Amino acid sequence: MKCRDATRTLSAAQERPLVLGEQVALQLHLAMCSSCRNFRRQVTFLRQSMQAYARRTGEGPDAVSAEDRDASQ
Amino acid sequence: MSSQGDPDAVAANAAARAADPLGDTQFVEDLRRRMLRFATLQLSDPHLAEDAVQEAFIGAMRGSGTFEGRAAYRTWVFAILRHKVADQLRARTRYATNAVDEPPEPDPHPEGFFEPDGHWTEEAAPADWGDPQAALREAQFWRVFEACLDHLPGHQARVFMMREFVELDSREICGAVGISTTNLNVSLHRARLRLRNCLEEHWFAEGAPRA
Repeated sequence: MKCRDATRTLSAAQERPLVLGEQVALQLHLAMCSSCRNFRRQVTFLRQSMQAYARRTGEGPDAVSAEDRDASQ
Repeated sequence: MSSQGDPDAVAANAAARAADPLGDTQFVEDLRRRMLRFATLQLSDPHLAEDAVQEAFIGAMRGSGTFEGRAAYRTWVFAILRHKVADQLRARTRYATNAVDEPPEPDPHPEGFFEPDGHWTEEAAPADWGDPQAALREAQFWRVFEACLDHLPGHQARVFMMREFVELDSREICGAVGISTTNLNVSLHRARLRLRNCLEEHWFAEGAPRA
């Protein structure tokens, strides 16, 4: 398995359970590839950040104070 | 110039704004535009999008009626819109019949993240982001995040938002859009490659401009 396939499998893992063959090939690749291990963490982070984004609809936690700043100008 | 104004008047003004977010036309117009952009992308129909946005505002009015300021109101009305969009897309799933499965639009860029032999290129190899959760508390991060989402190509943006923002599952998305699972997975893979690359370039990389 090469990095391109590993990222494809890691992306698919967000959609469905991996079959045993995919799991084994992926684990073997991840064991020797730190870039793809970083990718795995980042894909998880993307999902978490999208959930946080949905909760605040794209505005930062200081949205209220930023608005008050704008409004007072 | 609020420091020179009558503090009582300023406070009263702020209280009025907080009590009635709809009284601020600039705020409403900005919010409506953002909602319309989202709904149009998801529903691929400007008229249905207009209707959904309007229904969301009406739904918010029927709700509790009091909000802790405009940020809370925006979150509330956007959540209503998200549910309306999800319902509409799910309804399409039910009526979807043998849709033509077009191949995913060509997107040479994510392929450019890899060498011909399938390894990451030197520039595109994902770096260690340390503790990325900390970024979620920074307002500037969310501006970068939104800009990166906006830079996804249309189809990728649409299905990625359906999956991760509207939170439909793969089967529902394939039914609503009329694509195969393979096609969807290709688009989601590309969207994730692009998005993580954009976030690294503009936020997580050492010396990233963070703007």
